[in-house]
Amino acid sequence: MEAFVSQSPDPSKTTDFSSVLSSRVLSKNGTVLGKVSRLHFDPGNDRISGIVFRYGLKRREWYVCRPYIDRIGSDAVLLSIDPVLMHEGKKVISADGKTVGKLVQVVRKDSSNKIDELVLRRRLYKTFTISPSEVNHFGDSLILKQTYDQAKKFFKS
Amino acid sequence: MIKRKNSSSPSHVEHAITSEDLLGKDVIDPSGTFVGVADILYLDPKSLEFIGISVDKGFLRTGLVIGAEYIREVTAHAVLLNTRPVFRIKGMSVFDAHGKKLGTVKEVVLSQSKNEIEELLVATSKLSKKAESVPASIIDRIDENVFLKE
Repeated sequence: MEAFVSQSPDPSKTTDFSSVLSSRVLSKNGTVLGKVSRLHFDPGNDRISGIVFRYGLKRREWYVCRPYIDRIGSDAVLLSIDPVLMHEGKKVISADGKTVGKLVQVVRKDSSNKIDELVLRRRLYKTFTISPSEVNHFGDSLILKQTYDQAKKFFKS
Repeated sequence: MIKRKNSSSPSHVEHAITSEDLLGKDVIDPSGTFVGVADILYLDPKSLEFIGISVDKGFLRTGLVIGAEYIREVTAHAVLLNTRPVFRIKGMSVFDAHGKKLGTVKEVVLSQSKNEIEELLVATSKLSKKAESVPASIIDRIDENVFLKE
């Protein structure tokens, strides 16, 4: 390949655009989220502004902006975040290990990765809302700070 | 009349739990993962010290024994662990620092029967039976999958 390079790095030290497409997208905790389907560029500064990939069984398209991307390589795109929408569908348990309900919706602050509130479903159609500050740990399940008896205040109100 | 010697004060018995409080309860690790159900309680026959529990992980799955030192608390609803059992690492993908997939964890080698990893045996190919050894020293973090250091 003939290269015409001025002040930019040598092509061998850059990532081929086409190799990024279809590379896997990994969240910060290592979850494989999907594969890059599109790259977005900011026409103002000719830089990558974000990536698009399809997530989950419903294959929803997610756009993640550049500030939330740790690194872009030919093998994978590593995010610097765990997208909060990943928590939807997880079980919610109290601090003493009893299942309180299921997280059905994460309400974000605008389009950021910050949680505004969490919508839980306890029985078939009964839902209630809690603040993310009530959650002690976001893992395979959401673990509340309260015991089950203390958490009853959420769904009795 | 038989006079019973009660060496425990009433307050100690009041706060004690029995095997009924423990057996049959869900066992949950710190990330909220359901590990299994506590089904057997182990005691030292001489010291009567609580050694640990056996966990039934489910249908057709081999059981697991968890030492008392890994149990954070027994609550009214569950047995809560203070550490994640290493068997969960089996089957995880192993990525290098750039996100390149190196293989899948085939086996976890523990250090002296403790819950500390000495090395991971990683299958680099589905067809090949060979496994590469990954020492714990080059593992950056283990979360949903395994990341190696730069």
